[in-house]
Amino acid sequence: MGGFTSHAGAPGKSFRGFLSHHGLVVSGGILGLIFIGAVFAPLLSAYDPYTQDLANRHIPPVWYERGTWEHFLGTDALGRDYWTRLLYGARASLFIGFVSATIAGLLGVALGVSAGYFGGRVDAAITFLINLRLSLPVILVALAVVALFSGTFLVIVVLLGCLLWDRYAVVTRTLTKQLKEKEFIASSVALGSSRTGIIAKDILPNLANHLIVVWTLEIAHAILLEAALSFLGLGVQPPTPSWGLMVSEGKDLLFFEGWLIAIPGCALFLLVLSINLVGDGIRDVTAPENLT
Amino acid sequence: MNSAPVLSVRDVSIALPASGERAYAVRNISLDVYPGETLCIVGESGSGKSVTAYAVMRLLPKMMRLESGAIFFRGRNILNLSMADVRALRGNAVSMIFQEPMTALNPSFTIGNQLREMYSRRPKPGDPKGPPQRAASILELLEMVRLPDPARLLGAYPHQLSGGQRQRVMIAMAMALQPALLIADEPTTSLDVTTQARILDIFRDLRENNDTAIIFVTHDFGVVAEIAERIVVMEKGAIVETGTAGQVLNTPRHAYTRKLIAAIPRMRAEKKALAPGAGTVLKADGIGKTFYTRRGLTRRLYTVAAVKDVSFHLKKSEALAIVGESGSGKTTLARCLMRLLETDAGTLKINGVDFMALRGDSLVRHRRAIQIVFQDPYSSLNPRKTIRDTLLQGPANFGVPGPQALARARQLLRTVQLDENALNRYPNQFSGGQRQRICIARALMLSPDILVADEAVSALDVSVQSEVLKLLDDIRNRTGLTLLFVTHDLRVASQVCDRVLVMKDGGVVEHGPVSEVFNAPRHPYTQTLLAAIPGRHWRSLS
Repeated sequence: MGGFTSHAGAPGKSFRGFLSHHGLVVSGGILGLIFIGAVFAPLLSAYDPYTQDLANRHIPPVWYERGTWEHFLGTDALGRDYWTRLLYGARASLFIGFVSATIAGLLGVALGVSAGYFGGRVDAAITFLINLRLSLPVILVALAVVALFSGTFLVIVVLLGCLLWDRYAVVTRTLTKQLKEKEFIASSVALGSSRTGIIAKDILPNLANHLIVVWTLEIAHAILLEAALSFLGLGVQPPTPSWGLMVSEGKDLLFFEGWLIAIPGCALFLLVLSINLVGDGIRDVTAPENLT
Repeated sequence: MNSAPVLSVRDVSIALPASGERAYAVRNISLDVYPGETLCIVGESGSGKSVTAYAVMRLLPKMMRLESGAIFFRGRNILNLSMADVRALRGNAVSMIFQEPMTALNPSFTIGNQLREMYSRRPKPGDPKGPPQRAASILELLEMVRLPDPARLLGAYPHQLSGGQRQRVMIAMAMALQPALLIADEPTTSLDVTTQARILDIFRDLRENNDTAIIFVTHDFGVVAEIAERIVVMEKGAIVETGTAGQVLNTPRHAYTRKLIAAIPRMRAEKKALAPGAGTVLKADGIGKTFYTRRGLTRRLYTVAAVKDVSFHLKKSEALAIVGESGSGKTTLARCLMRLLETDAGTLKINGVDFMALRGDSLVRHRRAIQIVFQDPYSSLNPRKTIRDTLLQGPANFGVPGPQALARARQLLRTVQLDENALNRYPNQFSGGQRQRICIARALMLSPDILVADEAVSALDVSVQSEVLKLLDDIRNRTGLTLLFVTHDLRVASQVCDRVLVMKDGGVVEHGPVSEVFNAPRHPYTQTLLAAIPGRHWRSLS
């Protein structure tokens, strides 16, 4: 009787629930546009991202005096169309973000659930691993690995996947420990369910909507790390377009042609922001109170 | 009542958010509280009794809006006061005690510290108490709430106190500035009966020795019978009956009040006939369970003997109650019997099979025989599973073919009086009582021989409670199910059970037929428990 609990009315069909969440609609829209841009890049631009055109170097975007509609976001120091580079660059960011956050998720959830569910020695060992991982400086490790294996796409994706599992593990471990004490788990044991059955049917589904949030945070994190690595010259190697690389290539002209940095910078900002908002929105909409 | 009321609530309506089940939390309620009297607001969950109390403190959550009406405190409408004036009233002229004593005190400060803060934060105008007088009046307060050794207690931290002691500290804090009005929201609900009896004594003291008016919010008519002078009965946000304690308790006018009073479980300690010649299904011998924890830098070993040498046996279709207060080990015992916890000592035979010795697959196969229903209907169902998945889980583990299991699920849903289309819904669409029925159906899916009910009706409203008890009784009569009923409520135990086992500090203090134990308790502890039942002098209950 002490407090009050609010049960917002079930939003009927889940699709209507999605649409009634304004943050989710706006951020989902932005993310969708970036996604479409990346997939249909060849259709959305008349240029090739690699072809240099030394006659048309340093053209500013269209809103500047010297800008033209032919290259409406301008060209870079090698005369490549900036809009085209941006579209193709989104492919690198999205791919690295999604794939490495997913790899990290599989690792982290497996470790976190084992630690939380089995406890005891297993928990002690995995907690030690988590602490070990947290004490490693991500950028330095990434630098070392890339220096050893060179910065191919595959190396970067696997590397980030193996470095970003800590948050998943911490979150799943704590949640699993709490869930394990719930009486529905005890009922499942009494009904003769196996441990794998309980983890698959009672624990993982109840972790899912928290994990969606961590997943989106880690996608954003991975995208920013890839950009940072590319900026340092250790990520995606030129001439492959990537937003981090574009910032890096533009940094010498920071004070003269600021848009070279501002455009990929804004794109990164929008992408990361919309991913985070989508994560929050999905968590709200899929909360168990809203199940119908 | 010749003086003017301290508090007058006039035509207050409080709106709920648009999406809720009903439009108003409370609608057009009016009530008066006079100096020195104890007014009980009674109702089931969702009746709006707590909302009313919160509105008086201006503590309504943001989503609830006070739509119309006025609340006069000593003639001033507190709804028109600025927040600064409201803060000046709170704790000073109006104070409040909450349900959960475990979280109501700040764990980082000593009791003395928190009591002194009450004075320093709000110096009473015209009564400037210096530190020495303050110290004296704090000791006086602690003596008033009958706390042992108050001087030593001032240096103690909240975690060193029991729940009952903390609730007494809360009352002392609330009474520190001699408020004109004290609001207590279910202050004894989370306490044991014996502790509750002592807290109710303190409330009676307060009434006799002070001018403070008390609003006591509760769902328990037994408690009401103990302390109320006037009673307000609420149902679904409306006041259905108001009157003096004698009138409402003994000659209730409104049908809802009559229904509530009728639903309170009565002591039913008559002899019950048992089917002759029934075989033994469960035989427990010397069950023991000790918890070990290592704490601190030295990793010192602490041991708690939660269950000590418990022996009993159960015949087919018998019902045994295990009663005791919190910490008596009754829930640990239930979990040991289920093999949800491993025991350290003793043997357990179910249908002649040594249940404690089973391992791996053979343990899983024998789990069918004993099933459990838990206390909290909200955490006993997986919120991500439909009722169909929940019910079919057990049969699926035992390889029962789907269609056959589904037919049984349908049949059991009818048995527990739920609609068949419940199958496709999620737990959040059911009320607490309905969820508890689903839990019972889930436990029965495997046709167990023994059903353990671990405080299975404690979290439910009385009217729902009586329905669930009746349901369990019906099922037992029809199917010959053996019941092991773990509860703290002696009256509930007397309703369903033939035999009772009283536990204290992990051990059994008394064991025998309900009629003997409850009519002529031998052990002093059983006598204390029986004497602490609230409302035992009220003739409707005895």
